[in-house]
Amino acid sequence: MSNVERFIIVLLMMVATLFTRFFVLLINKKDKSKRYESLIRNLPYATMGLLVVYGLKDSLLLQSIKPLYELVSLILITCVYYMSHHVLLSVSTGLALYLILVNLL
Amino acid sequence: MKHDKNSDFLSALKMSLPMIVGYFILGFAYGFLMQQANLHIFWTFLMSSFVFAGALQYAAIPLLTGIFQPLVAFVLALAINVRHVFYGLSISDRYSGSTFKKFVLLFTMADEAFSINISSKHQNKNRQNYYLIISLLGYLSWIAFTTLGHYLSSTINVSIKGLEFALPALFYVMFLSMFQQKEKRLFMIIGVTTTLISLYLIQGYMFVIGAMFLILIALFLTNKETTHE
Repeated sequence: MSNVERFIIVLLMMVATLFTRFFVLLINKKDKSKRYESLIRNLPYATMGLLVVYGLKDSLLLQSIKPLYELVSLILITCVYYMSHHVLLSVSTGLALYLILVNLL
Repeated sequence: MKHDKNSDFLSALKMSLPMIVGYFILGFAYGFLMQQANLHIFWTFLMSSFVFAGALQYAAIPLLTGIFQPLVAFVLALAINVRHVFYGLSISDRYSGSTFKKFVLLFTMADEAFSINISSKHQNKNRQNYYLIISLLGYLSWIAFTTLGHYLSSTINVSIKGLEFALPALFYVMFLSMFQQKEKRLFMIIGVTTTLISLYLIQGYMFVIGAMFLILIALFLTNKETTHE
């Protein structure tokens, strides 16, 4: 593959990605029905649900190394979060447990 | 009410930490793989700064080394990154600063910055700087770590297994934080179940597209019910 061809590949992937990023600007802002408004109000919550599954997809398909370790860590994160409501603390305790499980067991 | 810019910066920095840890690991690993594929460091830099999409960058390595397949590259990029469409629709009300700021925020949009910014409880418009700092920290650290990883891949050989778990853990905590809003739980559960259904039915990259369709349908249906009440 020549460098020109390689550059074209990068360019095409950039264009496709830009399209997904700026898609929201292509939507006609004037035509906002009540239906659309309330759909958009609830979409962030559903999207967050999508993202959390997306992040765990390898374990969910049992393709990651240690799906069980991830499950245990997520349970710990849930407990820490509900006790402390502290984002950083929850992420780091969960990550610490996961590292211990993966590296030491 | 006046907003303290310093506290904005500090809280943004604090919230970015899990993202930066995750980027450090995944960025170095990406740089390493690019070097292993015998690609010049220029391509690592170009991919990270112009495309800036972790999952796609990993998937695209064979496309930069094998035979010339422009259409495959384009479709793959669309399929993997189509979730950005939902991120943009979800967050565009919050990204309401100047046109330039909005451009930067959308250009640097990624799973991590999106999850932090969308779950931020401060809904006021003064948060533009907070959003910007989070997004730029993510963007710049990704470029730095991937390029550095490529550069250093031949000299260092340290590996701690499992650090990449920082990112799913971050998404999960952001999810929990949004889950505190009781009246919105239904929509979060809809998001999780539809994506799970799609994931198990489709299994490939296309599952995100399936999930997005299902989410739209489910939101339309629940919308109807709530407006009838």
